[in-house]
Amino acid sequence: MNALGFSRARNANRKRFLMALALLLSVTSLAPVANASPVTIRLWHSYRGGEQQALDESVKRFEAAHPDIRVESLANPYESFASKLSTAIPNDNGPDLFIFADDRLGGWAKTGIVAPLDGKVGAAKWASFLPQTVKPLSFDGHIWGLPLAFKTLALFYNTALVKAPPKTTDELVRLAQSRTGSGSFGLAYTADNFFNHAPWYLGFGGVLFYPDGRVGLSSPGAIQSFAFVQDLSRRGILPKEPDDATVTRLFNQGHAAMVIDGPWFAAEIDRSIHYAVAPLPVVSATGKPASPFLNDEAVYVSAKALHPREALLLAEYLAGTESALIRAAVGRQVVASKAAWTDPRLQHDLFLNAFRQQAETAVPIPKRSEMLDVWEAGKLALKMVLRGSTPKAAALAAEHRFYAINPLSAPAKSPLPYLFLLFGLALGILALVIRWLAGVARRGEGKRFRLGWSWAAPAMIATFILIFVPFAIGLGLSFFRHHEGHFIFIGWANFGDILGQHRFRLTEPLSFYYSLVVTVAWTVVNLAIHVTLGLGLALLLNKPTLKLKAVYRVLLIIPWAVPNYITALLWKGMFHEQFGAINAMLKLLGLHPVAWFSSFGTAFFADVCTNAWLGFPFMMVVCLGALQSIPRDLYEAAEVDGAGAWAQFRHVTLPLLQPALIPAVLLGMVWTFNAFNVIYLVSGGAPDNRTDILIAEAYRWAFQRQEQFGYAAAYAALIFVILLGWSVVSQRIARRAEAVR
Amino acid sequence: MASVELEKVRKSFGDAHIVKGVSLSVATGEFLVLVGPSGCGKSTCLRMIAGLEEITSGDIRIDGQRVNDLAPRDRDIGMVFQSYALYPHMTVKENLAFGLTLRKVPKTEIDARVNEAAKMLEIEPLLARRPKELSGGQRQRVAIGRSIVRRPQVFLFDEPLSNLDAALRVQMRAEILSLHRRLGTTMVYVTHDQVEAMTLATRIAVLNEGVLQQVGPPAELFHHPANRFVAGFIGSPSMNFFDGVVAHGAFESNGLTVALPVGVQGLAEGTPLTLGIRPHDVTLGEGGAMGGIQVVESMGWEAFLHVQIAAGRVVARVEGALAQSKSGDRVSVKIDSARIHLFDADGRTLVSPQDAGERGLSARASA
Ligand SMILES: Nc1ncnc2c1ncn2[C@@H]1O[C@H](COP(=O)(O)OP(=O)(O)O)[C@@H](O)[C@H]1O
Ligand SMILES: [Mg+2]
Repeated sequence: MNALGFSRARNANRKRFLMALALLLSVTSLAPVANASPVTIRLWHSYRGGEQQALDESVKRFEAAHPDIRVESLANPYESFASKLSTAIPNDNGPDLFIFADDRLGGWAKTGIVAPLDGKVGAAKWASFLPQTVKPLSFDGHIWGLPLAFKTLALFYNTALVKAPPKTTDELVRLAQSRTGSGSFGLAYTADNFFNHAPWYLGFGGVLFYPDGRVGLSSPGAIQSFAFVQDLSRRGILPKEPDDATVTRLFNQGHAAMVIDGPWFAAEIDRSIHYAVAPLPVVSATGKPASPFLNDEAVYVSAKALHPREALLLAEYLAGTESALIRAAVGRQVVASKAAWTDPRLQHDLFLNAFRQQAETAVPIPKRSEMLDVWEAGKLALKMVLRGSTPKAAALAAEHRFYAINPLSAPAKSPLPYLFLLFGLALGILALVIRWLAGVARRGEGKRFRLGWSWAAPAMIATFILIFVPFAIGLGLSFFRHHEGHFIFIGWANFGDILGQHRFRLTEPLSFYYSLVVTVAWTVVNLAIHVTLGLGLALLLNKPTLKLKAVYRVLLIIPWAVPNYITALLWKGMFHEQFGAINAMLKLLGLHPVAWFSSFGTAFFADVCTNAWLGFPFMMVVCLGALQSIPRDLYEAAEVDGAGAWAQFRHVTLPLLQPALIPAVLLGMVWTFNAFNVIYLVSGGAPDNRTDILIAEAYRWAFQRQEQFGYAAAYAALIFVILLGWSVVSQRIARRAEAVR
Repeated sequence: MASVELEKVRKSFGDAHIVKGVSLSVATGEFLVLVGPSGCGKSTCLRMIAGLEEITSGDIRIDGQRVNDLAPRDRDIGMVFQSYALYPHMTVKENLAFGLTLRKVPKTEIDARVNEAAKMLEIEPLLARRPKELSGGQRQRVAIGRSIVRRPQVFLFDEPLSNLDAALRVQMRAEILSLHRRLGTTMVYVTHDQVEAMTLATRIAVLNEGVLQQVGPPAELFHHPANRFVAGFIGSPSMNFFDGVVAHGAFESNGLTVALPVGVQGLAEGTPLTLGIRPHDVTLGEGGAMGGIQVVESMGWEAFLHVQIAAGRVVARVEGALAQSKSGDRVSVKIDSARIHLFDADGRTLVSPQDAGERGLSARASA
């Protein structure tokens, strides 16, 4: 698992909902009773597979050695782990200790989520770790965690294709070039991911942040590194539009000589491939080693731990030699304990040693929250150079993007006036309810009333908890600014910024209005296609003379039955510039392959194709049902009246289809308006967020841009308002259509 | 206005032979009712005339022109469906005007014709409504109106009254008749209800299992049915039938003996025969076959008694004091050989009584 979280497709709303639920739980659940014997401490982590096994084994041994301590360990899904910690711990609902990488440490140290350990752990203990693994855990003059293991990128190579790994980038290019051709690539990695680009960026001397805090995305080294990647791509050494799955496939087929990836890649490699791992080469232009980021996994004691002493005991044990050896053997982790590396088993482990060696030149990820924005900005630059922009232009665009997505620094406001307003509103509603209840009592309908409500209550309570509460929290959130775990009330500032357009030009993809136009176009185009295709197919299927109707019907509903993310990924694959079926067909027809995701029009087209495929069966089913309910004698009457095929369609079929079709279209519009999956998975907003629809942008603000939850919630609220307005209008249209029947 | 001719028309749906060679000609201005039990192929015949169903073999001519290959809209016919088939999304006015609009008739003319039809059918106040806002009878009028505004040569009706209640049916029947009188257009009217057929038709055509049984004016079918099927189908309540043989020069069936009427006395002994007699020709009185009354269908002054005699069950129409009989009473049923129909083993009519006119005369003469 890549520690930097290429989060899978996830509905932004759903995530918000989980967060809301976490908040809710934090209010309601009780704190465990202290002084109970034995003491129970809670450990949270996000390990899976072998890593989790190793941890469980260590915990078991620890419990055996400390009969008075019980450990309750909980595995969390990685995607939501950080936000869960950020919200649970301040609310006294978090663990006593947890395992996480070092990249969030800055915020957590500042907001009192983790406790400093330097005073509590002796110097000898600190000296027992590889120094590179302790350094990233320092912040603000303290050390905050005990290092367990670390991850860095390194060079995997197929030993059948590469005898000796390259020592310099020049060698790398030469070697890779010689292994490139006829479907094979010298080097494969997801080059548009800034985490993977970091070794070149730092090796070419690129600056992440200048001392004055400015970002260095357009520093000379940065530009040189972008040019380097562009060169790799132009030479054909790198596959186009590489994603993790493609990289793995190429390597496992022997079509990629070298791959840049982390230790987790080992689990993906096919048994038939013989490979080895080596440190990344020295950058020939600068003589500096390519320096990947070092992802330090440490165990932290929560600042709000109920049993800090016991928690520290467990933390020290986990960071100790015995536990480290289990981690190395079972979890295949590159451990931080120096003593463990003196163990003969580790000394002879070439795989782990390669990463240990790479750690010598690896650097920690800067501990600033702005770093979160570098990922998106860096990715933008990489996508641009891979598409052919000049490195300079790409670097400047990245810099611009970095500042554009920096969180709003709106001043805190007093929520009092708003609370008064809310309070007044609540009072008003209460008064109405009381008046209504009094009326019920006066009319002597009490018994009927109680009976009725007791039946309705379960559904109403469920609706309230599952729909209304998260919705209200989401809405409330839009008046806050989230900063490192704290929510600051800022009134209407989020809305003002989104609608006021101070940050972006109207034509910029990050502008709300730009995304709105795209979203509306997206909705209209899709619906037009859905209806045309759906109605056309329904008319064909409804032909009384058609044979094998049932077979066609099942075949045509399949796109609907397949989970839509699978379909979306399939279509994305089909539109792949190098390996996609569509370009293969174009080539067969003697046409030029198209880089589908490099311009708005073609990327939008790819999204629309996918969504058309996903959406037409619904319309088809609706139309078919409606067609079958039109009595045959109406057509016969029309025939006798003198109507030909077209006139029958125009005067009988279409008007009688309307009552079924219009609600379906209105519903389809809402779905399409929020069709996050397709956009996120197919074009992913490419190029440069231009194909992002509103909901996708909301997702990015919340989860890819420094957790601007409030800003994203404001997006969601605006989407809600737009759809609410639309549904009011559409209700009216639907009712008019219904009147026809 | 035009004539309609069917010549050896057959219709099969796959292996199912539904219409088996029907030849029929409907004169210009005639009101022909096609009657038969349900499923006998009446609608299929009508739909073939309309062009909604292809003809398997044979010819159909309208106004002397062969129309086998003409589309419905080119046959110049109007059709009223059993379900009315009104366009639910159009107002009454639009429903009426639809055919004319499609034919690009000028708007003023359309309005004039729609208003004329609406006036004739008394649906003027309904013109702005939609079909779902109408009662069954009103819908029926609109359906008729829709076919008359186009002034077609032939009207086709497929059981137009079967969805209406009894009282309304009687009223609509009269209106359709007066409409026919007023327009004088040729009408082919399909129904399974012989009462409807009798009251409406200039001529009736009886269809059974895809075969035409008899064509003629209602009175002729009633008094001189061509075969046992027509005899049983026309008339209400149905004719009584007894299966028997010729024995000792008389009709004999399970204790019931009826002298053979003139004209059929030469039949050989043992010839199988069916005797038919209408309920109003059955009398009660001394010397008949004894039986118990099973059911009394009383209508006050008159009643239909269902009497079980040895030869079978017989329905008799009685009047006055006899109408007060109770079920369980024993009565003697008399069958007058002058009033019987006789059918041979194939159901063909051998003899029918003299028709009503002759009977009236003879009754007066005997008085
Ligand atoms: N399209 C069809 N396919 C097969 N059989 C049909 C079709 N239309 C009618 N029939 C059959 O033909 C027979 C006569 O139908 P129809 O003419 O509607 O009878 P009715 O005399 O009651 O109007 C029925 O048995 C019916 O099932
Ligand atoms: Mg019928």
